[in-house]
Amino acid sequence: MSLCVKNLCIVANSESKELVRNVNFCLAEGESLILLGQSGSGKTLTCQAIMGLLDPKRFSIRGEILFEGRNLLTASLQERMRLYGGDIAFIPQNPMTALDPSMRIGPQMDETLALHSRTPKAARKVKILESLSRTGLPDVEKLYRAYPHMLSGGMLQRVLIAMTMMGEAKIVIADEPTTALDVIHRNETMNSFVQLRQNGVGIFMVTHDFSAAVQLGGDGMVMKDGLLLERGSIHDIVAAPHAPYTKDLIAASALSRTRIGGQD
Amino acid sequence: MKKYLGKRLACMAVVLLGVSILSFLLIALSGKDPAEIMARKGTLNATAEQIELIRTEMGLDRPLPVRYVSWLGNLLTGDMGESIYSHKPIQQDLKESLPVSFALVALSSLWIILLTIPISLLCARWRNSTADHVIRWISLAGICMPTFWLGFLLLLLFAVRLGWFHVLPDPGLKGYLLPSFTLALPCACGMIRLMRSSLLSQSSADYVLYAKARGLSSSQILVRHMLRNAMPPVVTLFCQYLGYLVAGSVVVESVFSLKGLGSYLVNCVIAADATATATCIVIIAGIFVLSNLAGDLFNRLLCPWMVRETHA
Amino acid sequence: MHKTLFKNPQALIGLALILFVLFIALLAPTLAPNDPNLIDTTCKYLPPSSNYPLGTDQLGRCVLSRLLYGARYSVVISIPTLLLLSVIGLLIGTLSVCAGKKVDFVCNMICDVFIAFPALIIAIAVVGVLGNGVKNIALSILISTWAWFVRVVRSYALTEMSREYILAARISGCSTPKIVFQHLLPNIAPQFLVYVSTSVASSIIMVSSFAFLGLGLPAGTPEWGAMLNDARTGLYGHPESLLYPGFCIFLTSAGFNLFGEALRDHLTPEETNL
Repeated sequence: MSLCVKNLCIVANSESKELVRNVNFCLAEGESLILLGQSGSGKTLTCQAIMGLLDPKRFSIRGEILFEGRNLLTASLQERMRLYGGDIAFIPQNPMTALDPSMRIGPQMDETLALHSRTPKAARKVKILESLSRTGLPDVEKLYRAYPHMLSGGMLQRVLIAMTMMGEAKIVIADEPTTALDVIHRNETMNSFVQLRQNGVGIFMVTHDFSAAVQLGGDGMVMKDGLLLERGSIHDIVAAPHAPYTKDLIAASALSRTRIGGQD
Repeated sequence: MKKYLGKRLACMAVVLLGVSILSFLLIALSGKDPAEIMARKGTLNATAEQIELIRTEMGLDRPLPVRYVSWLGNLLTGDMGESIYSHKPIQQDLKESLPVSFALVALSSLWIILLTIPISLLCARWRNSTADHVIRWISLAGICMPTFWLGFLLLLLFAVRLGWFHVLPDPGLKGYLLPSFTLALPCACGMIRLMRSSLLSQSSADYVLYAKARGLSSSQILVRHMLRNAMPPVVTLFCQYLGYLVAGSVVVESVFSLKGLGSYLVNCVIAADATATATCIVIIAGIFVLSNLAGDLFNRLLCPWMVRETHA
Repeated sequence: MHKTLFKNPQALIGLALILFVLFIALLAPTLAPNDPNLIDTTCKYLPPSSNYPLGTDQLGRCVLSRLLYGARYSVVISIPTLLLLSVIGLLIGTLSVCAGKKVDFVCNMICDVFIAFPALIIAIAVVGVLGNGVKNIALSILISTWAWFVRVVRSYALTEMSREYILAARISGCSTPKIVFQHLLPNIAPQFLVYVSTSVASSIIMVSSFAFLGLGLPAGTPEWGAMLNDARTGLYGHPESLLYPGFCIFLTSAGFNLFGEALRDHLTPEETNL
């Protein structure tokens, strides 16, 4: 198992309240795991805890987050910096604001790659262009020199996915990757995720969007108030939810889907 | 970008025109008769006829708009007239005083940049540390400092007590060290405060979080990404300060007995030399307008996304 | 909200300094041990004594009395000028925002012209034209800084007017004057107060800069900047006469700056919490 989370608890220091309680799961390469829940249920916190993005002054984390047997919570800063952006890649919620607005896309990708590999600069550029075109983006030479504000949300999302490819990530952590996108780009993004998984990447996705979850497939977990309510294959959860909370979530999701015109 | 530049240049031209009109009105409405001052300089008890003669000679009997146009035309062609204060052509006075002021302002700008960037990066990196708090208090004290007092304190310490400098300016670069530092310190303190808060406001941006997830260290994120994005307000303020530096040099030149544009201006004001005063003012205001334009353009190079934000 | 402000030590120190200077300015004639302008060349540069608590200057005048009277010039010139500036700023700034794009553009242009003159320069020129006098100093500060006040109010008003609650008020039928007085002014007042407070500090420095340069006030006036200029001859022999007046200017401007800064932190807590 590539990524294993054991007894994860997250406490907000200011309120000494447990926001995530006793969460356990494992994810292997080439599989996908989806964490479902409303906003405020603790799923984004779980995500950020895995990526080491929580401010230790504001949150205390207990439990273990193991990547290939190493506990990320106790690993040295150097070790974690080597893993994040390399073996473990992150797809943030809003692709429009994820990149530094004043730096061209190519150099930003290059900066990440240079941190994680020893390939010379020319070879890095070849690799970056190759991974950009693998996501189906056109005109990659021009993209390399473009600023983030010149691209649409969907294109930027694919740039972020290309970043996970160029770093040869083993695990991708995606925090609500479809929320900020319109329906067409959402479908494209989910297809890219499916493609990533087929290439042997493990995907951990947090979402409240059931249609995106179904599109990706694999295993699912439902979280409410920091507790995991139920788990199983995502298709089983959608077809036969056990907890009443899950039923409500699915109903709400279906409702919003019919409202936007029944597209799936 | 081209459209923006055109619009900006057009606005600047209008502002410069306004500046020149205002400066001209200042002389014209001063209530002091340059012809009389000129005549009395020659002969103490000049007759009304002599004054009238000089008035016609100087073209002061023409209507205001005509005088304005001829003054502006002369200014643009570099013929600024003779200074009542020094009895020399104004452009010759300027040739002597401008280099002093430019050296002072350039060296002050260097101080400001050298102080602001490292110190505010330090504050942002170790926010709320003891160093951060100490710097915040010192910089607050710095903006309350009157420059002339600061100048005297530095003179007392470095010239009188330690004897490293002379009270009258040393020749060469050394003579500019203390004056430029005096001029720079209050501005640098204001800049540090702005830059610190501008950097801190970047720290909650999404791209910082994602950069961490890409494996960059806090210092790398600060220097490579946050610094650049935090610059625009700081650059704007810096370019406004450039105008203040020219103005503030009036006081600092007086403290350190330098003969720059500032002291020339004060002497002209005291000598009721309206033409020279107006010329100095137009030059200083022009520097201010140009440096603001330069700041805007620099910001656009630094942060290309701003183009879109302001057009929207 | 005001309770927490007055628990902030920075605000308290600032306010205490402001009140202290106001107090001295008001009571200078009672507090001063001697006539500040009495020249007595037989007692030049006396050391501190019970008669002259801070000693005497190069003309035998009581330093402490001169310092106490000096507070009057800073306060009497700066505070009324700043009040007038605030009124002008609020009036023209809000009018410019409410009167439509063309008026706003022209107004902005005029402000640009005035802002292009660094305040000290335009003030020097105005004093040069109008001659000496407290009124002329005040007027020159007015001419040189009114555009900044208008611009600041304008930018506050623009952000405030684009808020949704203003739109809601408009849709529900509020007239423009009603919006200005009921919603706009109360909402920009606190931020504007911050600006005014820090501007008092800079105008105090500016007034003393004039006096230091020998502009605006007759020679021998007990003003802090002018005292510094008088004291420069004592740079070698009597450095203490250089220290006191500067320290007074520093403390007064620090009072207004501290109070303004504390008020700003208080109004925008998110920035300090970062």
